[in-house]
Amino acid sequence: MPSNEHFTEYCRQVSQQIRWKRVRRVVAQELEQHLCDQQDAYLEQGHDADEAARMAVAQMGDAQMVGQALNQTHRPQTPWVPMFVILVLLAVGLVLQSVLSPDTIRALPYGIAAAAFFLGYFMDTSLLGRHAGKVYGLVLALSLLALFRIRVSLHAVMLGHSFAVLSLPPFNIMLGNLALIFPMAYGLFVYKMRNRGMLGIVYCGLAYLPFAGILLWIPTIFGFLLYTITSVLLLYTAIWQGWFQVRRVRGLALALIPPLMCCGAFLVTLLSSESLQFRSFRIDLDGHLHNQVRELVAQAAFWGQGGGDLSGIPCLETDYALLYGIHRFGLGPFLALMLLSVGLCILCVRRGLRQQSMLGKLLVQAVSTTFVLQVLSYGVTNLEYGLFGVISFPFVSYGGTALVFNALLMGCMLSVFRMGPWVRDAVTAVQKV
Amino acid sequence: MSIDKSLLAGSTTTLILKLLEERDMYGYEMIETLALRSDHTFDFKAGTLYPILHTLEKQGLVSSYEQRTPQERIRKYYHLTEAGRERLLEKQREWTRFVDAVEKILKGGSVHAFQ
Repeated sequence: MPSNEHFTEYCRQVSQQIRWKRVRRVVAQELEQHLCDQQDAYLEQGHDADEAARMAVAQMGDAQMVGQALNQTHRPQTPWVPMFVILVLLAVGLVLQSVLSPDTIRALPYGIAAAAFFLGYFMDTSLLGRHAGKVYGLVLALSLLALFRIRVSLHAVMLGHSFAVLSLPPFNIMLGNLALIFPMAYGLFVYKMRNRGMLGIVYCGLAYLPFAGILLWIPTIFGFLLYTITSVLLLYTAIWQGWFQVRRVRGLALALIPPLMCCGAFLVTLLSSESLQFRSFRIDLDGHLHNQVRELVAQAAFWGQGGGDLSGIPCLETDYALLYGIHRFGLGPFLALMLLSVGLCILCVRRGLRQQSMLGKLLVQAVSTTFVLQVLSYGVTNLEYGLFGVISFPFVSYGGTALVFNALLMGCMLSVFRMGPWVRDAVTAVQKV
Repeated sequence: MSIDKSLLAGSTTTLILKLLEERDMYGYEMIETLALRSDHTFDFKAGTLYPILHTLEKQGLVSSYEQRTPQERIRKYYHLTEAGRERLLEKQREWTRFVDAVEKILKGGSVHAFQ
């Protein structure tokens, strides 16, 4: 039996004892490498290849016992706490929507969101790493395709928003929500470009532009800001950690050029176009909305229903769900919800910082930053301090597209937590995690 | 002379962490280095080492990365983390206390509990 077959058979017997299938390949690869090193040592001592292979296998120990010992170590780390918090947010969202607009609640978006969550959760994250460029390309291609088929919601334009909606009956996909997916796709592109020095940073800068352009074209200003902030942070993290192997100051300066150019170009266009101003910002021309929201918050009770009139508040289910919650249930539950959400943000960010692999770090950072910005902007807007609009309060506010996208993103992030140290970076050159 | 396994069980982690304190190593290299330095007193089987290494990685005491060898194989190196350094320091202090205490008993003496 050739030596490789000895090794392959031994590693197969060992890895079969490990119940968690996801890590079997990685473990087998390491053991096989050890066997090759051991065989080389026996060959140097003068043994022939077959004998050296048999001795190397014998030196490893009984395959079943080794496998069982490894099985004790390798268990998926189910992230119970974040999963529980997400379930609580979903429950809160369902309660709010059932009280606010019971006719609009449908099982289908929740069913699709659940499927998207489990797709992300059980996905092999290393697949994303191995096909990072393709994922970026796919997201870009699908977004451009969607843009060719959109229709603009006139009703929404009147309210100071422009909702680019892709109608695929029975679904209506709000394209502004693409801002939720773009950071992860961009993070994967940054991952692909690591180890490529200044050229890699230039490519990352170029890769930033199409998504930014799409979001500005829609336009979704908050979406653009969310994507820009997240993508700058992702690239900065990669440069700071030395993944591009360039001098930090130069890399950071270069990374800032495309976002600044986009923001500058947008501002110039904005200043010269009143309709764009109207469509881009939440312009409350006579201050009525502003005053009404302030009044509702001022008249809110700590627990229970407060005073004030909700009738003039637009997009209550989508943009002002928390305001409705404050009015109907009080400031106490609102604060509790914000604390819970902020707690989840902090937990995710901390676990992201502890990730050993670049892929894990970037994925978690992309998703957690997207989540944080959604939560903060929505909370601020519902207290009438916002300017740029919102996308959603994840899992709470009404909106099938945002629900599905957030579910998919959370699933991917929790998959990284589940894998623990077994999220591996693809070997390109010498790299230390 | 072979060593009682129970003596070894508590020390293996310390030995591995100490090796990694010096420099990053891969599994086979650790086994060979331990055997060489201990005059083959510590002759670990790979099947013993890797479960321990993977446990240490899961605990965050070591991290790992992969590197391509000249023979185009992918080799996994282990690196001691800050948490691993702290644990090693702790274990070294523990070991020193233990050895001192054992030495005192083995040397005998005039102190007795009930005189």
